Amino acid sequence: MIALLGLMLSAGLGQSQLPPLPPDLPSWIRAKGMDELYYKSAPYNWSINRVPKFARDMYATGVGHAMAYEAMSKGQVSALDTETFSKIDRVLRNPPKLPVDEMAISPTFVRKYGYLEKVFDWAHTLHFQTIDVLAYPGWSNARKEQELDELWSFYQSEPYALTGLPMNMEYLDGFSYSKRFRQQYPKLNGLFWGYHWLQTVNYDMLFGVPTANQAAQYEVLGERYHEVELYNETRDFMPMTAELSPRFAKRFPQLANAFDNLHMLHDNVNDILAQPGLTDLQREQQIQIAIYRVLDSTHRGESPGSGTPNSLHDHRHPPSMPGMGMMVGSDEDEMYMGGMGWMNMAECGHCSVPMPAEEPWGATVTANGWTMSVRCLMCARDMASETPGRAIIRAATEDPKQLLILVSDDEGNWTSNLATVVFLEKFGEHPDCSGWSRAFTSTAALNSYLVANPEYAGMPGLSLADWSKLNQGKPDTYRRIDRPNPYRKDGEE
Amino acid sequence: MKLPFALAIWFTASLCLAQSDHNNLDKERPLTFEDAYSIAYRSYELQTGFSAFAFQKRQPQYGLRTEIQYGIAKNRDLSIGWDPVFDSQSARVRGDNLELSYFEGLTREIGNSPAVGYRIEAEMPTTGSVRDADVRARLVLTKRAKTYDKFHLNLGVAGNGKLAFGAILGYSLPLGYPRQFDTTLLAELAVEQSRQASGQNHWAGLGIRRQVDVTTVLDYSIRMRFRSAVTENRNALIFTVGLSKSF
Amino acid sequence: MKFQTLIFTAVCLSVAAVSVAHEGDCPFCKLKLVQNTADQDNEVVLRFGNKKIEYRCIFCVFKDQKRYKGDLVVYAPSEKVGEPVILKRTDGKWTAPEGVVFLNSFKKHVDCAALSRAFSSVTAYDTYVKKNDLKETKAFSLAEFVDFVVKPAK
Repeated sequence: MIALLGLMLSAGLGQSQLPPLPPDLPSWIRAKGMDELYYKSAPYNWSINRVPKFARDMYATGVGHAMAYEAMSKGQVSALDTETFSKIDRVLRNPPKLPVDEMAISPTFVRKYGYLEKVFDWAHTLHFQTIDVLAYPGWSNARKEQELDELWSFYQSEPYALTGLPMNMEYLDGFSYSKRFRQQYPKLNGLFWGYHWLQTVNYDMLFGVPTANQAAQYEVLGERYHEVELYNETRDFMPMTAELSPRFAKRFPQLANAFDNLHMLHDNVNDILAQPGLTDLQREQQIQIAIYRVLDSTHRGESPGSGTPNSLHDHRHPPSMPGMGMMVGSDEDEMYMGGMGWMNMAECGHCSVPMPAEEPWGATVTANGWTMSVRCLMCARDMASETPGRAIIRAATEDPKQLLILVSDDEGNWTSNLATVVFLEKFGEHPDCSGWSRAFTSTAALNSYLVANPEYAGMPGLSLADWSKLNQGKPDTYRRIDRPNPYRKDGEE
Repeated sequence: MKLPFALAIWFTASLCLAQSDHNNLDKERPLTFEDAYSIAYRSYELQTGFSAFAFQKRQPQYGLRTEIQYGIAKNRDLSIGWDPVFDSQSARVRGDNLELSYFEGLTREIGNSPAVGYRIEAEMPTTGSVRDADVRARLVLTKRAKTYDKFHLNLGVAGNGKLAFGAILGYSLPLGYPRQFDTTLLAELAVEQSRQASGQNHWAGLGIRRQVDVTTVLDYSIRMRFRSAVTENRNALIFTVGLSKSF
Repeated sequence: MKFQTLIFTAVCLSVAAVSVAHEGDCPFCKLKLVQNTADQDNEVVLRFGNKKIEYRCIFCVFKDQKRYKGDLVVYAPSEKVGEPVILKRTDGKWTAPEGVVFLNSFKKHVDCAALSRAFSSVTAYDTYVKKNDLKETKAFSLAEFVDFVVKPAK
């Protein structure tokens, strides 16, 4: 009886706080057609299959989404962390070789929330085509970048398109039903955030990377995905594109924001479907409102960097990262990152010195589930070496067209995509590290640099093996941001 | 033979392009019925299939049906098809007609209401008068049965002057869920008024649609015409194998 | 100095703005790493190939050792600043300098950095125990410590 009373009270409380339907809800939400859309015809379609393990894992994420939504639509919430989890987990461990029609696996969900499926389907198409462009071997990087801009326009031409503006994540995750799903069903939520980790970490794996060097990185990322990220119940917030693919998010902020807004819509929908005490009509309305909040049409005419803080139209972003909205507790460029604590996105993740404004941009390190931007090769190597497990470094060379991809084993032994790579490392003051720690595609390129920069004259070029053995220890410039985890209550670990 | 040549070009061009889906059911691929959904907006789909008609009382016939569809708008597609048949008894090819077809999906399945669509098609003689065109219309309803399986009711009318009616009850069942996601089993039971003689044709069929890669669906079926108004067509077995490819 | 005072001092120093180490969490227990102070080393460093990975205490190192497939070197802070005890795992077998003993007496893991430590001698161990007013402790040999740490939790 007490339990029933509690349920009624919580349901009543939730209902009284539910936001009302907006007056300008788009009419397509009530359209009855299936409105199935085809993706942009192009030679790059299905290039994702060039990285077969990645493709299969991506196809499995569709199955995982659909199976979970089908169960939730049928009201089978009590089994979400047990039978539903196990059923999905089997598929994730044995992923399909071909893409799967999500609508065929979630018929009840589609019958109830067909309009939502249109939004998901169109955004997932964007996810996949973006990957296809980046994995396509037939075009130059410049042509691919141009195509991604065109793909974005193509995506926006449909009314189901999500906004590419940064959105305030604290606001979007701050409704009466919010966080319900992650708290009540941590295992299944872990899977969702695992999919979203995969769907956001992959873009830096592919962007600007020669197609021949993409699959090797997935050996590291795929292992991490299957062994840790899918079963990670300790994340405080969903993975963000800019967290895991900062290079991509900086170059294509509209895409990064759209993916984050999509993933937040997933979280909203999960919370609404998992919220007890709502009627079918209330669920339907709240899902429509959640869609409305992140639609492109809702924010037409608005611009990034503007808006009232912590509101629907808050499009501020960290100054150094246009591809991410403001996060819980974030302040300018500082944000709390899972597994890393407070970080400043404008600074090197290793030495805290501001990232160089000029090219080259330095490097990124992907290890232990996170990706960090660093100023130089030394910071990248030393940051990776203090982290257990395999790692990936993506670094600029003197040639903007040649990205250095280093992949390490568990012991920190690196392999390079550039056979003739040579390193300069003349340890000095950290604020200058992007000058004295660099990678070159050849000894000739290094020599040219030494001639142009006489302060490094006489420095020998280091082979990959010699460079790998170096470790300059903890940088004396490192500045720790000592603030509590904004997602946890006082003292909660 | 310009049309087959053009189709061959289309087919070759499609090899590097995009996706067909074994869950989406199209007429004659491989059974007679279809579901109430159009192909996706902006997509092209090439469908082709070989059929062998085995009769008890006459020599077999062989068909090579080929069709190209295009999603002209959301929930709407247009198609053009060609269905030549070689009659081994007369040693002649019959097939100088082109099929032009328009499909519109009116509504998807919402709640307990079925998905509804309709098709209008005309079989146009490439020689002779447009007045000789055969016009057909079909109302299609699709409704989920238990979980993933669906019923598809196709109600048709055909004729040029004299009308003939028909109905097909189709059934589709994805096989292998939740472990596999690449195969759909199909079945149909059909009745139609004969247009060649007085009486009815009845047949039943069983088929498979199987996704073989992201762009291609293979299909195969067997149909048995166990009642036919034309005596020599009675107890015919029809074997079909075909493929669909989107681009 | 009482044990509580020791802990308080260590915590204060570890969170000071002038800290020179990464905030990082211990790879095993996920608690924040405790940094060296002027009068006591706390950083446990595990060397695995080219990797130099910090742990919060030696208990965490031994608990987490299975993830590393090759030989290991562990620099365990001792009673002397700047003079860690060097432990090695070669072909799966652990070795330590003669006379090294271990303390492992924490009740809550948050206390592990102060209460799971290595000492170069029993004398140094006794001094530390006395200085911090620790009760019911035992000086483990390496073999005893390994056995104690790796045995399944009750």
